[in-house]
Amino acid sequence: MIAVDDLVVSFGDDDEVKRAVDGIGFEVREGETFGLVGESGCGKSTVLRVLAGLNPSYDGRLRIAGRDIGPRRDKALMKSVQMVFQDPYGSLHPRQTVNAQLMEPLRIQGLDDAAGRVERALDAVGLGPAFRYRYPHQLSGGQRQRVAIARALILEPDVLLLDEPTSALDVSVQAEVLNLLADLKAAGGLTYVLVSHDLGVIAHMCDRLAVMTEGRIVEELDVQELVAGAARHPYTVTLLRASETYGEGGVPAATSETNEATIPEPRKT
Amino acid sequence: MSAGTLRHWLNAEAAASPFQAFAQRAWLGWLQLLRNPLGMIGLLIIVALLLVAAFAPVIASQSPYEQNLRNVLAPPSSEHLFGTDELGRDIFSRVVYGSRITLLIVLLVSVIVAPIGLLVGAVSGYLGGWVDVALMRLTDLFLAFPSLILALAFVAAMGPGLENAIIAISLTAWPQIARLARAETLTVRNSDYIAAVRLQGASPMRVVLRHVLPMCVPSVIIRVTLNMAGIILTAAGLGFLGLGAQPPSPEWGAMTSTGRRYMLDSWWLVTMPGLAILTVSLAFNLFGDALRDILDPRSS
Amino acid sequence: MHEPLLRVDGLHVSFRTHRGLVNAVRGVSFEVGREKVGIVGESGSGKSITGRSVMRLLPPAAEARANRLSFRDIDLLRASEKQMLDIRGGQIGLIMQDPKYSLNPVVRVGDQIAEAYRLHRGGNRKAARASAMAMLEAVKIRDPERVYRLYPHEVSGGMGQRIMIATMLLAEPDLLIADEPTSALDVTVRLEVLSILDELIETRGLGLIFISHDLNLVRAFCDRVLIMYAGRIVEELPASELEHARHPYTQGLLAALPRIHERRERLAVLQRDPDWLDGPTYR
Repeated sequence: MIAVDDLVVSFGDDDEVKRAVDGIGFEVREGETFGLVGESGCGKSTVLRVLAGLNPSYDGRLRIAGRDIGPRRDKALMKSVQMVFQDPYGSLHPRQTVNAQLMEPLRIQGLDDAAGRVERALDAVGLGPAFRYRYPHQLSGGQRQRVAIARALILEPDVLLLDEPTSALDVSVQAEVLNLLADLKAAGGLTYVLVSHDLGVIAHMCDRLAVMTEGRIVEELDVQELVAGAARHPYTVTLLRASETYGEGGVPAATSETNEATIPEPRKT
Repeated sequence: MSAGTLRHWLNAEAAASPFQAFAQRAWLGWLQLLRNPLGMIGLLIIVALLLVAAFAPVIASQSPYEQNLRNVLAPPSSEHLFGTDELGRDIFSRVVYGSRITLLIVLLVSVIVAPIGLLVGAVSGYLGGWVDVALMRLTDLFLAFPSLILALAFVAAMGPGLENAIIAISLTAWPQIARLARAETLTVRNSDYIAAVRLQGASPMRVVLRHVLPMCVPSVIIRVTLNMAGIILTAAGLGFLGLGAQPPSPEWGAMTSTGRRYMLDSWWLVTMPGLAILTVSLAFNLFGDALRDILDPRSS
Repeated sequence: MHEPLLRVDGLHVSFRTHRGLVNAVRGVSFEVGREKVGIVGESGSGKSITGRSVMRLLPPAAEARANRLSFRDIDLLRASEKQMLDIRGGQIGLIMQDPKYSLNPVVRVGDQIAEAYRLHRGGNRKAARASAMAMLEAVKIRDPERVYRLYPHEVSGGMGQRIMIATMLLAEPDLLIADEPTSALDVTVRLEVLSILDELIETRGLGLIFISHDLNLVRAFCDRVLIMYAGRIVEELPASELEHARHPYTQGLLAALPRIHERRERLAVLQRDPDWLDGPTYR
């Protein structure tokens, strides 16, 4: 579905070029959920923005649904790739009702039966018609994220890019949104690319994943390998251990190690 | 619809139509304005100004042009509330009719300035690059001159008169609005909701007009309202200098200008139109401040 | 257990809004000794407001009342503003989520630490500078000389949080309140910061209130956990026994967490029961 080859994204001026993404390549199969894991600044969100077409300045080859993609995209292609953003408080237009925000993509793409589609989209994400004419400030974080998902899905895309879709949400709301995403995918026809720093979320949602650090992919593995603890690259292992320490009730390993070390008392003069 | 059901409709948890959603927002703003006494005073004065302008023939005791050379420079009395001027015209009637001219200036200037400023600022901020550079240097050019001097130059070139004064004031007022709209646009353009519309395939023009502009409108409305005082003063200044409305038009600035020759003996010639200018510009300032509290998204 | 440092009994906090009074905290009681106490809850549960009431750092629209809110033998509700200035940062330290907002952006970080030291301990510039340097070492900053001269925007999130911890500990407080101190950090950095915090608390024998939304974090880091829901503590239990939590809300939160080594088809969704609003506290 998606093939990325030797993707490079640089920021900065000529004298100080920083490579946010430094020559990565991966493939996403049709119908799977592909995870991109890494810590902040590793370039995972940049990759997602390139896939979405929001960052036209990149080098490398990009294929989506069998077509070579240049920096400029036509409307039909834009329709097939949609995105859900991290911050539910910043991803909805604060001065438009839910209805207006859901109608807009339909008008842009010139789709028929707009009213019916809006109704069905709200229904699909578990929000009733009561939410249709609300403004974002009248919604909770979880409800906003549902609206954002509805907005992305109303164009019936082939690929849904998810940029930390639940990291701003409470645990119980996160569970609801993750379940919703799983249900929507089960309903058919979607391929997900999920970016997250949370290995728990990645392990729960993904079929395969790639681990990124400093603009590179250091390891690509099946989720079964991750679950079984069969990660090989040292960075993946570090990440996994850090997540487990405060992840599943284990005793903090680092603390017991460092307790041995002597702590310098502040010198008093 | 009775008052009870209307209130219920306005406070309903879920709006059933876009109109109701809009009405609920407006209602909330109104409630907020009610709690701001100074803003309410400003609004009341502006409403009063509108009423005075609308019913000028009813309110004025005589025609603003009617001269009475046997009763010149009469001090305020029950017959002539604000006294009479050097040609025996009733100042009260002139001030009342003058409100029409003031309103005309205010209205025309905002109708010209707000859209130009908004569009220039939003396009400049959203597109960036050389468009931004070109448009912003142009606004810099206009901002580099003191507004009254610039207006003077325009009027001098085009000839004195009310219409030219309005055009001149508009030319000096839009750059500030453009700057403001550009600054707002810069904060908005990288937000996720703009990215989302771009993803849907919207053209840059559509993004600017339908999604960026609505975010700039509140601060522009606030700015224009606050600028109103300055516009009224510039108009009065031009009138005072003899470059705005021409005699015998009862424009407030022109009235103070002709009155200044008699200022020492007949204070009311200058004071009455001067007070009118003061009251109205103060009202716009107060109302503008209140609007800022209500409309500015950062304050809530 | 030690003599409690902080006693909170029947704390209520309400906010005046245009829709009327909103009760954010509704009768919260707990004690904190020289131990690590975690307060866990979702957004809007009142956990941060509880922490801020202790520091008397509530917004003007808020009103706090309690049967008792005392630190040692100081009544925090009746203490004068002058007394509070001494308590805040002096005897009770506060570490917030994002150090970027807690540090002055135009002053070098070292000078800020030294300033904090002089504010609470007095002394000359030189002594303050030496203590600041020693403190930077204590939070395991490798090159304190260099970091001392940096401006806040030049330090990373993890470094910034260590600097915050250093600043707070310089005044040698007895109690630390940490409000989501590691939520903005990456997992590997989080681990380092927490182990430093843990070490310093152990060696200095401080009390800690650790406010977080992250059950797992609190479970691993704290001794005791208070679970807050809708402005009340619904359950209090030792961190080690969290697995055996009895309150359905706590159980629901635990079940809703995705896990790395345990694949489930669906995550359990929390069914909120209106009875929890005023139900019993499980202790």
